[in-house]
Amino acid sequence: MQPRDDRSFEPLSNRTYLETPENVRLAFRLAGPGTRLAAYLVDFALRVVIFYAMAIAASTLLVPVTGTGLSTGLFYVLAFVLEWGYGCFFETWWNGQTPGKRLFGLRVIKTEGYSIGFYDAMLRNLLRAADFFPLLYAAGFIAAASTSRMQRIGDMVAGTMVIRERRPELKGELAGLANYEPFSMNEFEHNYRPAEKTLEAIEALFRRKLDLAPARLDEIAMILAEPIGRRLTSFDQRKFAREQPAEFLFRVLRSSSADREADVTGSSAA
Amino acid sequence: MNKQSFLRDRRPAWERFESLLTRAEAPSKPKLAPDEVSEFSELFRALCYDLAQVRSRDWGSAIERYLNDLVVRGHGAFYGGKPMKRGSVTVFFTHVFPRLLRQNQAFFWVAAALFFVPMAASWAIIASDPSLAHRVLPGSVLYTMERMYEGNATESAADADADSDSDSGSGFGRQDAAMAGFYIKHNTSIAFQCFALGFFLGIGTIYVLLSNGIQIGTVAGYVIAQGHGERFLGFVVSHSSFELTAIVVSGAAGLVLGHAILAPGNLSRMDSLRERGRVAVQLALGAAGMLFVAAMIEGFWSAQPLPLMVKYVVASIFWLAVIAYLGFAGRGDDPR
Repeated sequence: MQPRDDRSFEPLSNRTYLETPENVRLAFRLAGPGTRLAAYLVDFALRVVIFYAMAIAASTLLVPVTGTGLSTGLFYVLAFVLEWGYGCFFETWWNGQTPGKRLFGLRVIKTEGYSIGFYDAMLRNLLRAADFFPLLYAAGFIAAASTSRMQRIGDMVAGTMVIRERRPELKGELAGLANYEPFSMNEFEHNYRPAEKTLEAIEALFRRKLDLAPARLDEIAMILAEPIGRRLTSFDQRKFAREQPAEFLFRVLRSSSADREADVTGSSAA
Repeated sequence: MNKQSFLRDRRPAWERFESLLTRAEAPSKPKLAPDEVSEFSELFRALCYDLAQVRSRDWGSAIERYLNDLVVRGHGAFYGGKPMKRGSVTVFFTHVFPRLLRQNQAFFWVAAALFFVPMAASWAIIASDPSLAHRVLPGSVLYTMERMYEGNATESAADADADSDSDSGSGFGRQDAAMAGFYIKHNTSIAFQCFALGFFLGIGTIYVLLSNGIQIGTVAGYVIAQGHGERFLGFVVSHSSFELTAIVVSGAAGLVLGHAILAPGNLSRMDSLRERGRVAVQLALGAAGMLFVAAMIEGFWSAQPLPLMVKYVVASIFWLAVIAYLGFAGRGDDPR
């Protein structure tokens, strides 16, 4: 059975969710057509290289030993194995990855979340013939665009999906945050402290500080600065929040950075 | 409990789980000891609980991502499929494949009809009026076919007796290997395509079966009508046993796939595809194995200049072997 799919709430999301027997909802990031195409091209180039290496090896090394007949025959068989077996071989033995997929951090897994087996790899790679139809993977592209897990035909039949593997991201220190003056708790009403998600949004903005024009930075910051600023007790501070929203948000971030340092070390154990 | 104390308390367990997980994921032989497996399972459940807690308390997505990632990996290791057993390739060909084909023989017979009926019809029609062959195949193809089976009549029967096995390996036999390789590549690719195109409601498969049937029938009718019947039949009769049957088997695989979409029964079409796809791919693999045998026969045996009688006797052995294999292999007890 297919695991239940509750993406109906996120029609354009590239995530898919899976509920485990432990009643935990797992999130997977799906690989889009662009990355998959890039991985495919790398694999394709590699196959071309191997093909010519085989052709040269067969004609220069093998022919003098075995004669043209046997080496030509062997060459045909190897070309066949390369054409149909490349994806199947790597995805079976490298647990859902080909060299191209590995390069781009992609992996093929079952839609149930575990690793694929030989028949899965075989199915999704043999069915490339259907995905390719009528030319240049048109059928596969339509299938991937219309299924919630971005599955091409081979993936649908094999019950697999291609995900982007998360690499535990070790983000550097927030350079320059110490220059901002922290607020103290009692400057906010009811000891207000922004939620973790809010702080993460501010952190993301802080990291982009130098990429954005100051005006644009303030414009974006206003979205959060406005509701947070309303929690301030002093009128002057509220005015400051409205007039220099980016500056204000970074000071809010600095205020909770003591907590956050512990958090970052906690997650960097990944 | 606040976030800091939670992290402090739980981190050792996560790190322990991660070290077990890394070993469980490694492809090396000795994995986890029995008591480590139960420890793994305990830690895994605790980890799932931690993830749920982090989410419900909204303790930030950095830590949530870390735990989610760990649970994803743990889930894969914990519920993943069984590893392949050694010797499963042999068991596949001795038991699994012939059994599966017999379970799905309706598809086999339909595919056989789609392939052999047009083949016989075009053969009969072309035999009665060879000029019609040009309406099926381009003249250049027919010309090549005719040249292929023309040969020099002197070469065959007279030299046949003198040709010992070792002798034939010298010049002629080496070309055979090239042909065998070519047949493996060419025919198996067609068989795989025949299977894969079954996804399009079986239409692709039906097309491949019909067109191959018509073309093969046309060539047969034409070449025989040109008076090369003996050479032609002597050449094809042996390997056609495995080759034609394998094409029908791959056709059956494609039809299984098409049928899964057209008539999913109580399943959703997606689930039906997944369930029947597993059957279909095994049939296609079996067909590939048969085509490998066919290519070996075609490359190393079919072109041997031997008396026609010998060819026919050996060919009937091959045909009986195919029937016995598909009809009776794997009956009785399960292997091991």
